[in-house]
Amino acid sequence: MINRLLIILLLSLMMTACSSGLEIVKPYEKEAFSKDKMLFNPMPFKMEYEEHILSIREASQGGGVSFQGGCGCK
Amino acid sequence: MKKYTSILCILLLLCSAILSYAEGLEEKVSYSLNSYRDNNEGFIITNKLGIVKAIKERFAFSANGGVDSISAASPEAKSDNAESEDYRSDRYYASLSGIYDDRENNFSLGGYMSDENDYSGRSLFMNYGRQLNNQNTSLGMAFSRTQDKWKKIKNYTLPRDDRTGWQGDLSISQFLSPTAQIQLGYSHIVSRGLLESPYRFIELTPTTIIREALPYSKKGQAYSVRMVKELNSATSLNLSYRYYIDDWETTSHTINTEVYRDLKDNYTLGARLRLYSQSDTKYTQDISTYDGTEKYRPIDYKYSAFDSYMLGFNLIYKIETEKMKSYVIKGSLDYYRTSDNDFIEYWYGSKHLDAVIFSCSIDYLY
Repeated sequence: MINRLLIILLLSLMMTACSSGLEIVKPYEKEAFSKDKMLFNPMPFKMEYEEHILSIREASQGGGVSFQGGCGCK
Repeated sequence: MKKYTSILCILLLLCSAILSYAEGLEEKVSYSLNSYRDNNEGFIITNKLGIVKAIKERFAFSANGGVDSISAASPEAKSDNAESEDYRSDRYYASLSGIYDDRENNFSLGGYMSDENDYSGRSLFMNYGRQLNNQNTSLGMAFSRTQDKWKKIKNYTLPRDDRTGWQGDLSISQFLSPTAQIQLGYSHIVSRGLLESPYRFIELTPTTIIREALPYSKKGQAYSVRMVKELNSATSLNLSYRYYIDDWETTSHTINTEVYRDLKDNYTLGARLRLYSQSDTKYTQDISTYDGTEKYRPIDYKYSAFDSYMLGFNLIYKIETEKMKSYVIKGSLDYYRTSDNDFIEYWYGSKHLDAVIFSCSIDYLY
């Protein structure tokens, strides 16, 4: 488990280092991202509820964006 | 109902008291209403109220509270020995967290608690985000620890009553261009304790039932990639993929596609398609072969192999008012359907599960 975490951490660090070689998007060029439709999660309340429902209906978890509290339905 | 009213009243009082003295950061009061209804009399309706309020320039707090009303066809109705009333439960929950944000770093730490007829939940969670490369790259880390307990179940003595777990998440987001951003994510999830449902069983004879039995530990990992791309000034595309694997040998693939289009300055309409496919666990057998001698016996269909899809529409509507105050209303309607499955047929009587999920939220940004 610790090995996996280390690999992920190293990959993240490598990507972070490599990302400095990418095109730098200036703050004034990020206007498009001020809109809800350009967010990774444009509907946060809906996603939170949907993740909760789907964690009851499907075996998979994680990879989401919101904290899910405990529930006896799961 | 009394508890529900009390929670909402306390939160409303809290909101109004705090609105009077704070400043800075993005502050909002939110209300959301969500519902789920399926073709097997399953119905969940959720009301949730939340507030984010700045206390000083870089510090804020967030408080949320709500109630889930859950009803379903009685699991016990399948047994001649049990009462055939429908299952009903209300689940009350609240969370409180402190937030620090200096634009380069953000950190939050909070606690969560919930209570329902047969289950209580307690959790601690924390998140840390760091902006790098002139705010072109962001790293995210999250950790949560849950300490839940089952309460007494009618006509059944639980083999144990604890359910604990922790989850760690790592993510990295990168701007690729002025119109595209990508995010990679990893989650590690550990669950321990009574993981099976005490309500699931198989009727071997009219007087003999065998209950669901699962290992007391599960470890899973999820790997995800998300991308958002502006196709033109009015249209955006949001794509995501997740691969999940756990030590019960379940694997799954999830693909989600959303397209949003601005209809007017303040109206945005979205359409989505979600495709999901999972394998069964190494403990799952054909449901007709269970005879009570198995050490582990998954009965819930979510431990069997099946596919599902979800189709839906999203609507975002913004109302700008004077002094930078605004309302954001978001609504969605989704249709969910699983493939045909023997476990679903045994438990619910229909070959697949159909469900409609409705969601609506109002944010007041002040």
